Amino acid sequence: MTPLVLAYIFNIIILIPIGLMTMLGGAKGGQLACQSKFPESEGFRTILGSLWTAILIGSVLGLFFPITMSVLLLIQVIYKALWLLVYAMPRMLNQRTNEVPWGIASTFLIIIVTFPWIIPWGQLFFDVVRR
Amino acid sequence: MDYNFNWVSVLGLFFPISMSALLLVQVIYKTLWLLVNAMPLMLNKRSNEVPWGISCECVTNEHHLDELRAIMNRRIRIDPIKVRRKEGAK
Repeated sequence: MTPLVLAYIFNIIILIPIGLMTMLGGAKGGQLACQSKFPESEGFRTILGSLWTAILIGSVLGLFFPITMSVLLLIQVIYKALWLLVYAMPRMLNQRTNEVPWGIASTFLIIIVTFPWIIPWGQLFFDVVRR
Repeated sequence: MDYNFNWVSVLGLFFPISMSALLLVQVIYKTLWLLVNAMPLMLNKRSNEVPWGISCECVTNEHHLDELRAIMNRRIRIDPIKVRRKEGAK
């Protein structure tokens, strides 16, 4: 089993409960996923839940087409790093750490630290061109 | 959420095939959102609560499917791990 496949399995394990609960669990499911740190908004909750479920489906596809779907890991690193920079970090610096959902923040941190080592950069960007 | 896709879409200008899986993820999540949020609101006569800008953008994104089908067919065929597996099977 390659580290790349492990990354997809990690996504699947996390997103089966979190993605589906955010998308289909209503206000209660959304609040559970974000540890009641965000104000409820049906529109944003369902957009986030849909995105996470799409990443879940993409990760299942990634088990069969690991290189093709590896761009999914890249976008995860980018959007999670952006969220940590624009939401979590300013709150931590302003002593408002109680507003940060630590479950989401720590998962995001694990992903942005580990996935860049797993993403097959060479194959993703250059193999296709060479072939 | 789409802003993140915009960043990576810039990479798609230079590596269109590598980034094509993103189009698939976009089609999936926008379809899901239309199904779980916009459609129930419309069916319950609460269409004034639907953000039509986002909804129209989601619907127009569905045209990615045709481009995607062509791109993914090519890309999947050259997935190195799949190729290696096939070679191993031989």
